[in-house]
Amino acid sequence: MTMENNTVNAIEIRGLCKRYDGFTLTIDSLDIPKGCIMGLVGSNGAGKSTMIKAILDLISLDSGDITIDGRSHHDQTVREDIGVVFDELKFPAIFNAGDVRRVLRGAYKQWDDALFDSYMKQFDLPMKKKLKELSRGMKMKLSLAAALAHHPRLLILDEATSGIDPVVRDEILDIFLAFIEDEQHTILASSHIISDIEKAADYVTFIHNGKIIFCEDKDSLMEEYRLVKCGKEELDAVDKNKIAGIRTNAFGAELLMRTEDVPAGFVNVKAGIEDIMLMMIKNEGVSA
Amino acid sequence: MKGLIIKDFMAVRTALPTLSVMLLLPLLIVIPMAAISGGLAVQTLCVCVTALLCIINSVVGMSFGSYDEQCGWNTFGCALPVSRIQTVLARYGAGLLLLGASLGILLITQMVCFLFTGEQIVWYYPAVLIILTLLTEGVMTPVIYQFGAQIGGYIFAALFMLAGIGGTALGRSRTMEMSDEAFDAMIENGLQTHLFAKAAALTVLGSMILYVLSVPLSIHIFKKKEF
Repeated sequence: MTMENNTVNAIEIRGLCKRYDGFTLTIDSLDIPKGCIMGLVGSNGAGKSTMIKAILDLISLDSGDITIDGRSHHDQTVREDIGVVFDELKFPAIFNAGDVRRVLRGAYKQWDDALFDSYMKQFDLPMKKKLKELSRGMKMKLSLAAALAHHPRLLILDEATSGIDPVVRDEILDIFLAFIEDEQHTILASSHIISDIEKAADYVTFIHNGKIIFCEDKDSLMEEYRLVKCGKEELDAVDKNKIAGIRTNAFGAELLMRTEDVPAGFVNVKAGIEDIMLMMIKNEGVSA
Repeated sequence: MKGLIIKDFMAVRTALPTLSVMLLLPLLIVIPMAAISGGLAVQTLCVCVTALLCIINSVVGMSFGSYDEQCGWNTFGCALPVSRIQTVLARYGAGLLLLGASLGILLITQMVCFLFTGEQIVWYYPAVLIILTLLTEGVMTPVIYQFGAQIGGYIFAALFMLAGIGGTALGRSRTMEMSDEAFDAMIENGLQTHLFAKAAALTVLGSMILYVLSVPLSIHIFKKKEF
């Protein structure tokens, strides 16, 4: 799962294993290069949040090592360089943005009040309104402002865009793109909204049942697979070992195949990440 | 760490008006009475304020943990550049600041009483406040880290009732057969030989030791927690 890059990786995971009752997350090796947006996709309960919690040292590992920017994830100084956005704003509901600023000013050495205020202005957020009075989109933007206001080099987002309307999601994606303009900046974003990942990510890691199915450059991935439409007779002629995923219907089937495996003369279109993900999940056991 | 202490106090600030009323109400009732009738009313006032401050310290101390749980703070807090040891120390620090503030309020109350009635400022109310606050926080902080604020609250209520019932039963068993004169003589003797002062000093010391010992226990529990 190691990607080709000459730069130092923002995150390196080796031999990670975390066991729960009925679920195990296993990652043999995963590198997230600096200067990219890594989209972490997978269904609910696939292990995305567990992986993020492992990176943030919120859970203890049964085995494995994680380094962030060359330092162990246990090293608390490494968290000065990480901005985190969870699916919820984890401050008491009676707080306002000014309170959030006061608390985080006391937590981060590199906290920048002026930068936070500029984000507040940019996102059009009220400073004195209580968090319980803010919409979900506003809370997420406040989370993002708080995560960015201490000059992090790594931004980790766990389902940050879920439950947010497309307009706000688009604004947030623009902020990601602005953040990533600095080559030293990296984003790891988990989401089950695949369109967001397709739009913004450079790399995609697909996790399912606690295992990484693939971790690839998004453009290569989308070039690598094709959706092949065929009738029942044509399906019999296809080598089953070369089918990565299959969706049958009354008239025939839709196959997910590697581009080089597509039989000549078959109608085929570019596969989206969602197609790849869904067909692979449905076709567990079929070689990817 | 400073940020964490600020967070704790900001989270409970909405309860401040209620707590202030809880404190001011007995003051408003008893101060005029004390001004008229002196001694006994002043003692009643000091007992009232000490008891209220003990309750407030316990409730606020538990509220720190409760607010954290409600908003899922610990998940976010542990992703900050603050170690888990510092997080626990900040919680104890907030508890000590609370104790310092309540001691201040108690001393001011006693000084106000002194100014109005000339009643001497006595040491045992602050001693009781220190002992009860340290005992409560020393016991409850690791319990809340281990079981959460809700179960911690039930355990606190159970301990509070047990201590109350136990203390009353012990007191009754030791004094039931005593005449009023013998009882007064025992109190007088205790005061003159400084027996009560020594017992109080020992209890303060014991509660301080328990409080200090509870810090590594809380750290141990919190370090093992997964969020």
